[in-house]
This record gives sequence, C-alpha cells and structure tokens, in this order.
Amino acid sequence: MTETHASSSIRQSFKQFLHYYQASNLPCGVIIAHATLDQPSINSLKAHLEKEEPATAFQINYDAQNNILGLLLDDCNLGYTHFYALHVKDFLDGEDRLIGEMIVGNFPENSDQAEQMLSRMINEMVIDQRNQQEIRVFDNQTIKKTEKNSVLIVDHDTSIIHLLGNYLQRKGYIVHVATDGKKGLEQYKKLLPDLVITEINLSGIGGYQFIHEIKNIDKQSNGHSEIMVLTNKQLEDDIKRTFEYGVAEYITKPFSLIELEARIKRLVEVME
Amino acid sequence: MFINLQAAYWMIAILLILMIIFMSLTLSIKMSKIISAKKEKDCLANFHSYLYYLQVELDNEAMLRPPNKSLRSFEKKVLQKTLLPWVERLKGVHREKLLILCEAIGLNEYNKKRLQSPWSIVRLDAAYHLGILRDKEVTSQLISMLHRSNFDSSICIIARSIAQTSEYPNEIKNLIQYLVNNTKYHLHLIADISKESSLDLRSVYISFLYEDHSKLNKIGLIGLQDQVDQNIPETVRSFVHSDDKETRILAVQLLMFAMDLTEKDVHYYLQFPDWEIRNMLADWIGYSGLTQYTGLLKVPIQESNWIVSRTSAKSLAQLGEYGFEILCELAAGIHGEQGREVAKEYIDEKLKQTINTFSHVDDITEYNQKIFIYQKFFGKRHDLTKAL
Repeated sequence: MTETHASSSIRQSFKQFLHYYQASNLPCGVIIAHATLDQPSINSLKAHLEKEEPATAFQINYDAQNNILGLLLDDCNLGYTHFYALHVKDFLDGEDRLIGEMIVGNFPENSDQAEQMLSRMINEMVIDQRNQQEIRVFDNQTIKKTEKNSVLIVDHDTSIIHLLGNYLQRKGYIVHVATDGKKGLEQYKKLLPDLVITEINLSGIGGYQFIHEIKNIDKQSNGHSEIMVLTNKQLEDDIKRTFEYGVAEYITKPFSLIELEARIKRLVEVME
Repeated sequence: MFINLQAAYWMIAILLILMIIFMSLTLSIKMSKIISAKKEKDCLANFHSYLYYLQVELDNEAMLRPPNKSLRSFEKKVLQKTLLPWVERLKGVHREKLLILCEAIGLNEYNKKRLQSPWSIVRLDAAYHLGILRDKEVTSQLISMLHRSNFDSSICIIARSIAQTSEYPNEIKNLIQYLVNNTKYHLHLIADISKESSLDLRSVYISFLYEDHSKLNKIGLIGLQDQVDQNIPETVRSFVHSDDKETRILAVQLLMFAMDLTEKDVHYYLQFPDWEIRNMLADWIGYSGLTQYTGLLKVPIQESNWIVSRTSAKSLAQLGEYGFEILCELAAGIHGEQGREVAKEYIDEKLKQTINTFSHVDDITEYNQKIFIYQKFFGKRHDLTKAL
C-alpha cells in the first residue's frame, strides 16, 4: 500500500539533512508545530532558542501554505528534543502563534527511516489537524492497532493512572482507565481487555467484588482476561485472598515500572 | 418588664453581630480556599506540557530537566503536589530519576527553608516532604525535631521521614528504641516505619533478638520476616518457648517464612499448645502447597478446636489427590467421628469448585481422579457424575 504525502516545503528543505543523518547514523530531533508565523517572528524564535539552548544546532523552516513550523535538531535524543519543544511552545504561546498541536520525534528512536518519519509527522498534522495546543510524541504506527494488547487500569489514584497509563501507552499497549469499580466494570463489559490492572481499595464496587464480577463475565462470554492487582495492601491475608479469587499477579505500591512491565509481558505472552 | 425587654434586644443584637462575624469568617475561608484552588489549577495548567514531558521521558535514558524558567515558591508547591505522589508510588530507577529532578527543581531547598519555620505545622509538613525526597542532609535535624516534639501523631510522620532519609543503620536502631520506649505505637507500626528505610537492617533486627526487652525482641522477629537472607539465627528457636504468646507466634511465623522447619518441627508445631500456631501451620501447608506434609494434617483436622479443624480441611482440599483421599477417609469415618462433618463439607465444596472452574482438559482429568477417589469410599453419586 502506498502512502500519500501532504506536500510541504519542510520535507524538501530537510531532505538532504535527514539523508545525511540516516547515512551517518547520527541521531536528530524533529519538532513540527501548527503555528502562524511571519519572517520577523521566525527571527525572534531563532533568537529565543539560541539564547535558551545555545549549545544546540538547529535548522528551521516554515511552511506558510500549511502553517507548519519545522525544526531539525542536530545530535539530540528524544528526551532532549521533547524538552527543547517546551522552549518552542513557550515562545509560540507567548506570542499567541500556536494554532494547533506540536509533534516531536527522533531518528532513530522513533523510526529507522528519518525521511519517512518526517513525512508521517507532517501528514498527521495536515490531515488530523487537532486544535489542542499541546505537545505529542510521534507514535510510529508500524504496529497495527489490532496487534496491540489492551489494558484496563482501575484505580482511584490519578498519579497511578497518569504514570502507568502513559508508560504502557509508550510501550505499545492500548490503555483504558477507570477511577472506580463501577466504571471499571462498565468499561470491562464494553472492551473485554486482555489485561486488567486493579487496586483492591476501590469505591463503587469493592476490589474483590470487581474481580469476582470479571470472572463471572468471562465465564458467560467464554472470554479470558488476566487480572493483576496493584495495591497499597501488603498484608499476607489480602495477598492470599486475592489469589483465591483467581488473580494472576499481585504487586504492592510502591512498585517498579520495569518489574511491572516484565510481569505484564509474561502474562500477555502466556495468553497468546 | 421594660428592662427585661431591653436586655433581650441587646442579646438579640449581640447574637446577630456574632452570627454575621462567624458567617463572614466562614465565607472568607471558603472564598480563599476557592481562590487558592483556582490559582493552583491555573498554575498546573501552565505545567501541563511539562508534566507530560516528564511522564513520557521518565523511561528514557536522558535525564529529566527542570522547567526552563525559575520557579516561585507557589509554583514549587504546586509541582511538589504532583511530583511527590509519583515518587511515593514508584521505586527503582524511575524513582531515582524523579528524586534527582526534584532536587534540580529546588524542592529540597524549598522544604529545608520551611523546616526552620516558626509554625510547627509547616515544619511537620516540610519534614514529611523531605522524607519522601530522601534528603540525607536533614536526618540530624529531623532527629532533634523528634526529640523535641510532643508525643502525638506527628511523631509517626517525623519517624517515617528519619527512616527514609537516614544513611546509617544505627540511627534507625536508635529510632526504633526511642519509639518503643516513648510511644504507645503498635509494634507492627514501628516495624513498618523502620521498613521505610532503604538500608539493610538485618543486623539491627538480629541485635534486637539479644536485647532483654520483649518489645524489641518482637520487632526483631517482625523485621526479619521481610529479609531476603533467610539464615535464621539460632536464638529464634528459643523464642518459641517464650512466656509471651505473641512472641511465640512471631517466632514460629518467622521460621515458617524462612522455610527453616523439618518434618519433625512441622509435626511438633501442629500439636503445639497454642491453637493459633497450630492453625497457622495448617493454613501454611495448604496455601504453600507443601504436599510432603499432607499426611500430618490428619491429626489437626480431628481436633476439637473448630478453627484449626476447618483450616486443616481447607488445606487438605488444596493438596491434590492425597489430600482429597485423606478427606474421604475422614468423611467415611475410618478414623472415627471427629472431623467427619467438616471433611464431608470440604469434599462437596471441592467437587463443586472443580466443576465450576472447568476450562482445560487437565481440569476434567483432575475432576475424574477426584470422583474415582470419592467412589472408592462412597460408591456412585449420580449428581456428581451427571455434571460431566
């Protein structure tokens, strides 16, 4: 299947640089932003960036037809590119120039094809045109959505939902969240995810009842989801009781994201 | 009459004034809370992109950078409210990364200043946050704060922070001794506070076993239960014969967790005078699937203490074919009347449970084996075979 590319001067302008980075296997950061700019404001942006991050060499191009600003950062990893994008956003917000989202990407962390990555980023921006003025990390959609495993996180703690949700999304899972047992159960019936990560201390429906209901739904639908408990409860009796309810994993807070991911992988592999 | 009426008017007027004062006070407190919440929300909205950056890049090799502008105290407070719960919920490299970031943002300095505040509530709040930030430079200040504070619930917060920040096991040892001697906290809570430390406290807990102080002995026994190195000191066995029941239970629990029991020991503890210990052992055998001790449960299932008897039956039901066969023997009355009813109950429950959880061929095989054993003792039962 051939991919259609939205035409943009940024692609032409960055083409030779991207070829160079790819040929010499050097990392580079790419930032694109949906913004309205004129030449003086582009010059001000350049001056702002040179002042804030003087050690970073960058290329800048503005596609006036599509209102897309492109920046190419020399020898930068994804983390730094993302941080650099915060400077760009500060400037654009301050000047009231940002009209849509910003996307950050990195070669080779996001893609092994630098030019293709830029094309996809521009395509997403031109075609999807999201109004939300936020920064998003480019998600290389080489993994088809159907191949991704889905995870439902049920926890009243927003810190857990944010941290774990973002982490698992970055690891290629489709993440759904619910903040209490009742909503969790509704989500579960609708989605039948591959894995449920739940707290035991839940409102609406208690944790044990929630697990019990899931097992009942599985029985009726002939489906099967693995259940992982992630909880503050550390008592031996709670752990024992949870396993008696048919839970596959029990992790206590505070927890290691690496350990949790390894356990998720193991569970999902067993299911496959 | 006139005087009384005038006095009543005055009274009403005073009450009205008081009501207005209290109402305006309540309203102003409410208003200031709403304003402060709105201010906080707006400030957090400004950090939205930055917080997203932190969440996404938390797992990358690159260090997390502080915001690209200098922060005011209020902004630090708002960021602290979001970042510290993350620190509390994570461990390992991600927590370390966040701690480095918090220091770079200036949260340690911000809280150290607050630790000098004239207001005790502010100092306590700062102590709590410095504990989460694992700031090693404030441990001695926290220790003096602990010694100065009144014996109220604030001690628990300060003690937890000391355990989180301390670099020396001896400091934790002194902390535990102080809490044991000066507070009425439950020993499990004190042991829990000490476990907030990232230090290896094995030597501290072992040293408590040799103290002539029963509370410290108990903390030693509780603390050792979580230790990775399970070589249990010989002295633990002497606590099994202590005069104090809780100490006896904790000692056997520790031996159990460390798997430091021979078959002879298990046999001995299943007939121990304390029913709690007999019950604990019976439960442990079933829960841990220790099939080598299955036969030993024949005795406790027949005892008069119904809790121990039921726990033993439950464990036998968890111990495969041999456990099930023992239940059938007991239910058939081969070993007498004691334990017969409870064995019957658990046989029925186990068979029903096996039918309900059919999902693999293995489950059907397991069920067939159980039915075979059952029929050996009781003959055919139509309702059980019909389920197949």
